[in-house]
Amino acid sequence: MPGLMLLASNNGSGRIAPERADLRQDMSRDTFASILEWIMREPPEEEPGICFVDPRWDDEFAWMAKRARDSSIKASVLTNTATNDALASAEQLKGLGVEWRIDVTRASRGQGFLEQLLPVLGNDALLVIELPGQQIAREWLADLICEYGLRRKLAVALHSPLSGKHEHLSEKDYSAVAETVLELARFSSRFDISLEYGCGIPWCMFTSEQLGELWRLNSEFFSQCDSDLIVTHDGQISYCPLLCDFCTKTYADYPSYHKAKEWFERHLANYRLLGTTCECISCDLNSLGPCRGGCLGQALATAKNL
Amino acid sequence: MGATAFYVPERICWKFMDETIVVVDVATGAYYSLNETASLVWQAIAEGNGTEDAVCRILGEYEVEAPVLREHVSACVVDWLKEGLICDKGVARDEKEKDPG
Repeated sequence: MPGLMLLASNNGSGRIAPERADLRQDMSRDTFASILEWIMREPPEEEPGICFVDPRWDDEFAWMAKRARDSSIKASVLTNTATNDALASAEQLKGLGVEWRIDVTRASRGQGFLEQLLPVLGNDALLVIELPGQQIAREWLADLICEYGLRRKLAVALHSPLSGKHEHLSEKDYSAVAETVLELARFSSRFDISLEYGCGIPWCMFTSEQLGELWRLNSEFFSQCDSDLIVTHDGQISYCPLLCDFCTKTYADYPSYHKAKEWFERHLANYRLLGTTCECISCDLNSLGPCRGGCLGQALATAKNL
Repeated sequence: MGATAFYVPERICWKFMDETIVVVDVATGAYYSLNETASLVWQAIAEGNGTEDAVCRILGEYEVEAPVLREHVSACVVDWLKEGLICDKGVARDEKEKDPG
């Protein structure tokens, strides 16, 4: 679903780029409407989308979500905030894609709000976990998915660029994390749950044998670093939260979302050669495209002369 | 060559990968993987310290005769100048002064 991630409006939790309070002001309705029109000016072949990141569950959010849907733009939410407000907004969330970042260490059924909310969302909800974490309460996750009829997928964020911090999975931890992912895929397959993966990890984190097993388990791994563009309250766009300081433009600089996305891809393409591992620069998978060399934000974090 | 000042132009970015340096010309997509000694030379230039600084560091770490080393460093710098990975500050200044715009 190509689209924008809306960093700005109603961004309640401050989880994204916590040191950048300037990114988290509310977007005006006029700006929001202009951006929707901009997305639809040259609609992508796939269904266009806009993702609200950590919204406050208030009337403004409801208005924006409805306005997006009225514009034939798929609205979705990425959050980890299960509160009374979220519960009250549950009916409004129906029909939105909701990606819920969940605390994987919670083995108990203590997350009362979540367990009241998820049954309402049902198949609209996708659980997201972050690795590496502590002991994964995988039985609890499988229970949630099966009992509440959630999407039979588990999204695995292998590091967390949405935090806006340069905290990356280290290359030396790849093999241990790969094994954890594989164990999770094996377990999940017993419940007909497959894994999908967040961005920022090169193919070489997994061995060929592991990639093959993931494929057989219906949890095929793809190396991605292909964020939806993000937009801030004042219409500044960037490729990813980690690249806000590296390259930011204004949406109005481009005739359409499609053109803006093309520009960022072209502009950033050669920086990808740097990659995140020592082998990336001479790896055919990186230079030819199937692997994107891990996380571009990570690759640039230590690059000089930028 | 030792007294000449160089700089790394804007379109070139680089980073350490363990002990060595990779250099990418983001305008063309050309990339260069430097060995350990070339990485020391590059680092010296990029930090504005000049090649003689690199010569001293290499002499401290490797058994090599200084005249031979200086010859190799000069050849390396000439290659990088040809590739446009670095620029001669003096030449850049001269060209700027000639530019009527």
